[in-house]
Amino acid sequence: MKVIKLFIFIFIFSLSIFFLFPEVNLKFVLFNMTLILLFFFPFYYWVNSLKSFFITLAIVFIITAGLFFLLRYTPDKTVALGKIQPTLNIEPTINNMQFEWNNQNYEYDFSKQQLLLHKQKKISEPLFIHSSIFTQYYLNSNHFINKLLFKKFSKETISTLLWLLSIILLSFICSQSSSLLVSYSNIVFLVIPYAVFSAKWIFFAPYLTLLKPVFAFMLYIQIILVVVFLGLSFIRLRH
Amino acid sequence: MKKSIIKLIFLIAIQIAAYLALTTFLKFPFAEAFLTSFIFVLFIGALILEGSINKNTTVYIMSIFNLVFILLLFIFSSSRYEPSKTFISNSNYEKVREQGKGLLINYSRREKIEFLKVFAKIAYYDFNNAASILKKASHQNLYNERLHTYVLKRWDEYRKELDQAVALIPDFKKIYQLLKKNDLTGFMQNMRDFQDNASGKFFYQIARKKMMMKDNSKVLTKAIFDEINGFLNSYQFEKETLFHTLALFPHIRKNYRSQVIALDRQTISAYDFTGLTKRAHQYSNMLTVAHHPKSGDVLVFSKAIIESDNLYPLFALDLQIIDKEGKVFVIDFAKITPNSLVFFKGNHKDTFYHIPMTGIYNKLENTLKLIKSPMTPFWFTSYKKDFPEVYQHLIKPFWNKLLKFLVILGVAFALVMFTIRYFKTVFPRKISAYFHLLPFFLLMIMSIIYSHFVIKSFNLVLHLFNR
Repeated sequence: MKVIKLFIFIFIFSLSIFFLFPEVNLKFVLFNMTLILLFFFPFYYWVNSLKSFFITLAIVFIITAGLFFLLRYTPDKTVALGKIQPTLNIEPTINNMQFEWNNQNYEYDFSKQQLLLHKQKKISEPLFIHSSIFTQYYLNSNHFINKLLFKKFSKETISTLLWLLSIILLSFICSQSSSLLVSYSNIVFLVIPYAVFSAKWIFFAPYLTLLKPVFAFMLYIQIILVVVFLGLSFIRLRH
Repeated sequence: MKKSIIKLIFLIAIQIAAYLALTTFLKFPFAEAFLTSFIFVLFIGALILEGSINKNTTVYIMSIFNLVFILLLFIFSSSRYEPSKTFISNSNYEKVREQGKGLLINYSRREKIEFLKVFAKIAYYDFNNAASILKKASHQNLYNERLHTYVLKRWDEYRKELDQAVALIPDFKKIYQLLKKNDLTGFMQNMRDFQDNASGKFFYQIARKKMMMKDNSKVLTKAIFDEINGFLNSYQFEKETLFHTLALFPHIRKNYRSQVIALDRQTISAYDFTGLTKRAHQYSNMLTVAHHPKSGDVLVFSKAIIESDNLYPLFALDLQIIDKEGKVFVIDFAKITPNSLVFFKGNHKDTFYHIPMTGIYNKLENTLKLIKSPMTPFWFTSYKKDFPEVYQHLIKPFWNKLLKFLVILGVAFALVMFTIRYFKTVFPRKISAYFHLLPFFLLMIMSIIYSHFVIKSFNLVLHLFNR
C-alpha cells in the first residue's frame, strides 16, 4: 500500500511539475521522473541497519542508473502543454467583468467604467510561474541530457554514476526518520541545489572545457566526495 | 476545546496572510491566489499543526469554512450598480445638437395660417383659390409641391364629376352658377329633383356640406381634418409629408400616433431632439449584446449614451458594433429606439439606415446593472428571457466560471487529502518546532505547483471535451 501511494504521489507530483513547462519532450520527462524518484524515495527513512542501508542504496542506485541508461533509447517527441492557459478569471466583487468576444479578450472595468480590449490571450496578470525560469531550466536540462547520451562506456559514465551515488547518499543524510515532510523539505532545499551545483561545476563541466588533461585529479575529487558522504551516512545510521 | 479554536484562528490568519502575500508580491489574480492559499492552509493544518493526528479535522473544518466564505462572498458582494450619470458634457451637447440641426421643420405663424387656409379651401371645394394661395406661398418646397399636386388631383376629380353632371342633368350649367355664387338654398332647391342621379346626389351633398360648414365650425374643422387626412393618405403617410404636416398642425399629432411610431423606428426627426437640453443626462461606456438580423449576436458598445429629458429616445455617440468575426462597425451618431438603431446614411440627413434589434434600448440601459448583481435570482428567470444574448454571452460564462472554480476547489481538496495521507502514513509522528521553517517553504511551493496543476489540467479536460 505504501509503495502504491509512493508511486501515485510521484506521478501526481511530477505531472504537476511538468504542467509548469510550456512544452516537454519525452527525454525531459524521463529525466525528471528519475530525479524525482531519486529525491523523494521514501525507503531511505526505514533504514536502521547497515545491511538495509546497502540494500536500499543498491535498489535506488540500480533503478535510477537504469532509468538514466534508458534515456538513450527514448524517442524525441514533444508534448505541448502551453496552449492551455491556467486562468480562472473570476472575481466575486466583479470590479471588472471579463469576457471573450471574437477570440479577443475584453474587460469592463466597473470602477473606471471603461471597456478595455486585451490584444493578447492573457486577461489576468501572468502568474510568476510563467516566467522564463522554467524555459531556462528546460533548455539547460535538455543540454545536460544530451551530455549524458554518450554511446560507449567512458570516463563520463563513471562520473555520472558517481554523481548519482553522491545524490543518493546526500539524500539519505538529509532525510530523518521522524517525518517525511521534514526530510522532503531538506531534500528540496539542500540536496537539489547540491545536485544542480555539482552537475554544473564538479562532475560534468570541467571535462569538456578546462580540466581535460587533469581528468584523473577530478575523478579523485569526486571519489573523495562520495567517500565523505558515505562516512556521513554511517554517522546518520548510528544516530 | 480552547486549543482547537486557537488553531483555527491561527489557520485563518495564515490563509489571509498567504492570500495577501500572493496577491501583493506575486501578483496572483483572485481565483489563483485563493486556491493556492486554500491548499497551503490545508497542508499547514494537517501536516504541521496536526502532524501526529490522523483524523485531519482541521482540514475538513477549513474546507467548509472556505466553501461557505466563497459562497457568501459571491452572494453579498454582488451589489446594486448604478452607471455614473452625469449631465451632458458641452462638447457632446454640441455634437448632438449639430445632428439635429438640419432636421427641424419650422413654419411661421403666417405660413401656418396660409396652409390652414389651403386645406379650408379644399374642404370648401374652392380648388382654384387653394392652388393660387400655394403658388404665391413663400415656402416653396417639396411639401408645397405635393400639396399643390394633391389640390390639382382633387380639382381634376371635381371637374370630371362636373362634366358628368352637365351630361346627365339638363341646364346644370345654369344651376351650377347658383352654387358658384354661394346661393346654396337656391341650388339645393333646383337639385332636389335630381337626387336619385349619382352626380346630382354628389353636388347636392356638396351644397349641403357647405351650408353646414357655414353654420357649424365643428363641421368645418372636421372637414379640414378629413382633407388633411386624405392628403396624407394619398402619400401613404410618407415621412416628409407627415412631418411637415405635423409641424404645421402640431395638435393633430395624437391622431397619427401609430404612423409616427412606425416611422420613429426607421428615421430620425426633429421631434426626437425636443427633449435635448443642457440638463440631459449622459452615461459613458455602456455596452450590451444584442441580436443583429444579419450578423447574429453582436457586441454593442457606446462611448456615450445621451438620455434626454423626455427619456426617449436615447442617443448614442461613437457606437461600435462588433460581430463574432471581429468586424467592427462604427457609427458616430445613432438614435436608439426600443427595437432598433437608426442612423444617417452618409452626410445627408434625409436617408437613414435602421438595424432592427429587439429590446436594444432596455439592454443598453440595464446590461451593466444586471451583470454587477450576479447572484440575484432574477438572473435565471427574467434575464434569461428578456436578455437572452446577454445571458448567453456574459452571464452564463460567469456562472460557468464560478462552477468551474468550485469544482477546482473540490479537486484541489482531493489532491491535498491524498498528499496528506501519503505524508502521514509513512511517518505519522509530530515534528518539532525547530524543523518548521523549511517545510513551511516546501508547502508553499507545493501549493503553488498544485494549484497551477489543478487549474491547468481542468482547463485541459474542458479543452478536450469542447473539441
